Amino acid sequence: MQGNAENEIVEAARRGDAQSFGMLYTRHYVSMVWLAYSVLLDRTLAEDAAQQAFVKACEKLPGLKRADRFVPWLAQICRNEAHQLLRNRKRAQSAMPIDADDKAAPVSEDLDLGLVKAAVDRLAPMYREIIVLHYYQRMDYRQIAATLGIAGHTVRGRLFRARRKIEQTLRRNGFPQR
Amino acid sequence: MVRPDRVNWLDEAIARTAPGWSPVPDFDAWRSEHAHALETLTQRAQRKAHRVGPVPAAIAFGRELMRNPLIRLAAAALLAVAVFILVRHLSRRETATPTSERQIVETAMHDQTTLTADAAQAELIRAEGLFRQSDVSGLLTLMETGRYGTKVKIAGYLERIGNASALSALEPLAAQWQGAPDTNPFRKAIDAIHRREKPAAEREPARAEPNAVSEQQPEGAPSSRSERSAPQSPAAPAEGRELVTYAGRVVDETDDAVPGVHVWGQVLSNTFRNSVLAQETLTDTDGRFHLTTARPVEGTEILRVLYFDHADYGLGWHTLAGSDADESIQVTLYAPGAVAGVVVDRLGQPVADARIEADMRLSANGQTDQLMLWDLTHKYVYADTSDGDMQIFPQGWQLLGRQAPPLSIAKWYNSKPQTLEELRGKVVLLQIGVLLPLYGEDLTMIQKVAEKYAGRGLEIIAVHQSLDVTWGGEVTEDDLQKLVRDGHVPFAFCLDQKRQTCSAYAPKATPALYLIDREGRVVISPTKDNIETCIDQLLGR
Repeated sequence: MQGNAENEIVEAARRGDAQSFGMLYTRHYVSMVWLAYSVLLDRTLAEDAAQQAFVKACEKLPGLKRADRFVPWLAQICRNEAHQLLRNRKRAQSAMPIDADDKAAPVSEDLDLGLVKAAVDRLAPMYREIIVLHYYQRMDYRQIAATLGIAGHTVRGRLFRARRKIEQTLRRNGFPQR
Repeated sequence: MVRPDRVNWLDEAIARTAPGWSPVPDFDAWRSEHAHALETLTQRAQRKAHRVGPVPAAIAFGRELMRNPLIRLAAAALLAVAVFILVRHLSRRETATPTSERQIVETAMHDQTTLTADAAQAELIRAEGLFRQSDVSGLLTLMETGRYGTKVKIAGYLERIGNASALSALEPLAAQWQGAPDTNPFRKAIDAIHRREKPAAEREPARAEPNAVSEQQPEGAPSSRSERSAPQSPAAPAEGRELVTYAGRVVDETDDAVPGVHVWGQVLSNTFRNSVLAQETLTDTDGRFHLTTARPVEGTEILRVLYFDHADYGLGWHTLAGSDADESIQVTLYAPGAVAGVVVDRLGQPVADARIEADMRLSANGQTDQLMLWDLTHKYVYADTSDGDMQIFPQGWQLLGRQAPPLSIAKWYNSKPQTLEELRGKVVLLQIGVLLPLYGEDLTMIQKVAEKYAGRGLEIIAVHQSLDVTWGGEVTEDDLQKLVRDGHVPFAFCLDQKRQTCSAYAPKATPALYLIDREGRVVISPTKDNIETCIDQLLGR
């Protein structure tokens, strides 16, 4: 994240400049969708949550105290929106069908991707969001840290633990050990 | 399953589980869909710009000071000490001058009607005092000057302790009674006095109940059974009927026995039209009671609830599980509270002469769940008593008189997209939160309205909640389209997939009806009964 430049854009948006808000939207929309996806595991809902998060952020932006905390703040709004949608959805239906386009890639000969996907989906949200941002959106530690408002070494630690948990799950499900 | 022999095999595998899509930001689309958000941003930013001037030097200095973590820590410690002292101070004051729950409730719930409610409450308390002193002439004087509610209460007291001197005051009130004849408290008082005035030998045999405690019940015992649940006359168990016994103990909040509690039950017939008093009794010095009554006839009668009434406590009750005997009933009576507020009608106007009854709903664990207020005159119910006010307006009363929130609709099935701005000058009937599987009756009603007012300046829009809401059954887009295609919907029908419109209107129950006037304001939420009258009024304006 280009620290100062980003802060200036946030400041401008906070003063009511729609174009600046548009820049923020374009910059962070993708990571917000992935963040929401890590909670909802559903593309349509994730996009809804992200869009709604931007609506809320837009309305509340003048109240944001620190411009440098914009992205973590937005991320928290997005998480809340996603959890709200998840609750609504759970209320509406107990089982959550996975969209056709969300299914893992076809099973290859040497690797049961479905099993890996299931292990990722089963992670706690804290770990799943790191996995999604790192592997799906291809963000590095620094970018993830800036997005979530946590330290780089925390990201590294969570990623390490997330991978270990995935491995453990795979092993429990009969994945052969080295 | 074979594990590949590569160091980063897991990284590759996880990366390959990524869904085969990638989100694409489209700000213009977002902007057109959520224009209101940017408007809000601009407005708030402008307001803030007006408000925020240069920071005063003292505040700036304070902010600078608070950057130091040590000073921050010290300030937090100071605050904690202050809170501690305050809490101690308050708790000491509380023990020094005990505040009754009634006072707390009153303080919390009073509003602009405090004075009126206090005066009414004061009258009731005075009446109760006179009753305890068995001061019939005092009660009669108060009945002359008191409010109608006080008169009703006093009639209940006179029913128990009144004498012939009260008859002349009770007769005109009994004649004026407008409620159901069998609930006339004044008539009941008169009957009771007549019975007492007769020689003891002529008293109704029904009074000599086969109930040990009841037989010892002193005439005019201090019981404040109000007229609300008192049935016409106590019925003795019929000859030859099987008897059933209910017994138990009545305690107060501190588990102390409450003697002298009036215990009674009502047998309801299955039509709920006729009810007779099962039996009545008083608790003994240990708070114990013993009530024997004829077992209700299975299938046609039910004895559902036992009531426990004592002048010093709020009405208590116990719901019976069935018609079998139960001798381990434990009832706790609580100190009474008071609620004050305003009753307003659908148009926000105060309602005079509403007859209010409060009803405490208890949750399964016995904690107070909700205080329901009922307006018996207008047959409306209002449940939210957080501030003691009563609103005879079932839906969206917060929107009343305000500009209707704009529609934010994903799909219009049988019309071009409409906005409320475009419909200015017309009366709009909005049905928010339609759910297809449950749309039978409501659809029929709207169809009739649509037919009657076709071409007369009424626009009807029905908003389906969302396909994600599946109460009553799954609905697909095809189902909605089929409904429209089959010609069942002679009005605009649309889908609020994101429930934005539904949330903006936030109805208490769906589908909710809103009538919007020619200026775009929500005027009323009509019911099935008054919808046509309301529409006529608005069209006539």
